[in-house]
Amino acid sequence: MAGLFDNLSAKLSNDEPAGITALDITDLPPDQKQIMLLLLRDSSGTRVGVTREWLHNRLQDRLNALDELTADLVSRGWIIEMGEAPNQRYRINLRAKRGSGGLGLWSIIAERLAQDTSGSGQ
Amino acid sequence: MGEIISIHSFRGGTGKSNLAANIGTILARRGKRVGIVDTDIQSPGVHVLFGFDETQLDKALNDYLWGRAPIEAVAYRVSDFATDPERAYLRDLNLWLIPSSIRTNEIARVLREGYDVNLLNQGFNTLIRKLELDYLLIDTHPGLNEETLLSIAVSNVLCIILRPDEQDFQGTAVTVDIARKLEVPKTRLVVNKALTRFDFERLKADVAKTYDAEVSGVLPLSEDVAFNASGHVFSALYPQHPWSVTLEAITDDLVKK
Repeated sequence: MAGLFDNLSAKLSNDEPAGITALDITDLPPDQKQIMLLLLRDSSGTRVGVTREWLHNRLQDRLNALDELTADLVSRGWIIEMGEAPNQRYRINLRAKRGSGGLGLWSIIAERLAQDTSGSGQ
Repeated sequence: MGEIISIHSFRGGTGKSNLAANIGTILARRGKRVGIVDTDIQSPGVHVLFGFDETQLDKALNDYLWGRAPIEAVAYRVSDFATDPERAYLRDLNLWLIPSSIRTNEIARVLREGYDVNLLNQGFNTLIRKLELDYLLIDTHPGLNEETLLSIAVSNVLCIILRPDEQDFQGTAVTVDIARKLEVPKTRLVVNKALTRFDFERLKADVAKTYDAEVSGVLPLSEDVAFNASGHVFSALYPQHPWSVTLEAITDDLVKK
């Protein structure tokens, strides 16, 4: 499922965007949103990853088919799966902030200031 | 585990950085360990309230995002730099500032090349862990962009600042809606720069009803605060001033369990 940033990013670069943005998370179905928010707000979920057991302990009472939901999120590239069964760990994959590619106003200002500085030193 | 409090406004000029600096200092003066991160990479400013200038900021959040330094290495303990006698109120506080770079080429680079948002999120958690913070305040860029949305999403408390202005009212509705969709545990509104001719209790009730959200307080448009011109942390310099007393009550509400 693509969100605003996916679409804009894909148009700019003509490549497949990787990862998910916080805005995309707002559009997810409730079950997937629960998993993503849990990972986003846990320090392990953003760094070393959480175990399958950890996810089950926190979500199995609320969500059916947790393994299938997780597998789907992994296949979309929104969660990164590390390690092999039964010792997998999962962490969220937030999409990198795309730059303007050097066309932005700040880049022009920075270049001009650099030119002025080098010019004044001569 | 420390709490993340994001200070956000949909539009610029609402007093967001001023309130972030003041709320952070109020909490630190209560004995809490507090960090303030300036994620307004395009137009950083919160460092000014603590008396930092470009010569003192030899490292910044940008260095962390570019892999040049660990995040804790770009955290400045504010008391270490409060050498001016007028800033004695900052001494001995467990208050850290993580500024964004005010160098033009650094701002240009991050806008030109982007950065890894995972790093920013990991950085928030690392700061809380390594500095043993009770509260991490995030001073966000106005409007909605990636770092702002991330800050909202990971917040325990989202504090949205708005002025009694029709443009602020409409924009704030968008932020409140996003916060609900991201299931932020606690969202509070703060009305800032309200004209003293208004009935503040009525204004508070109207704003709460409009957004179906709780309002922590209404701060007046204060000539005294304006005269301070971001030169100091006003509430620490004048703790008995009515503006400061109101902000103390707002802070109470933000951190209330």
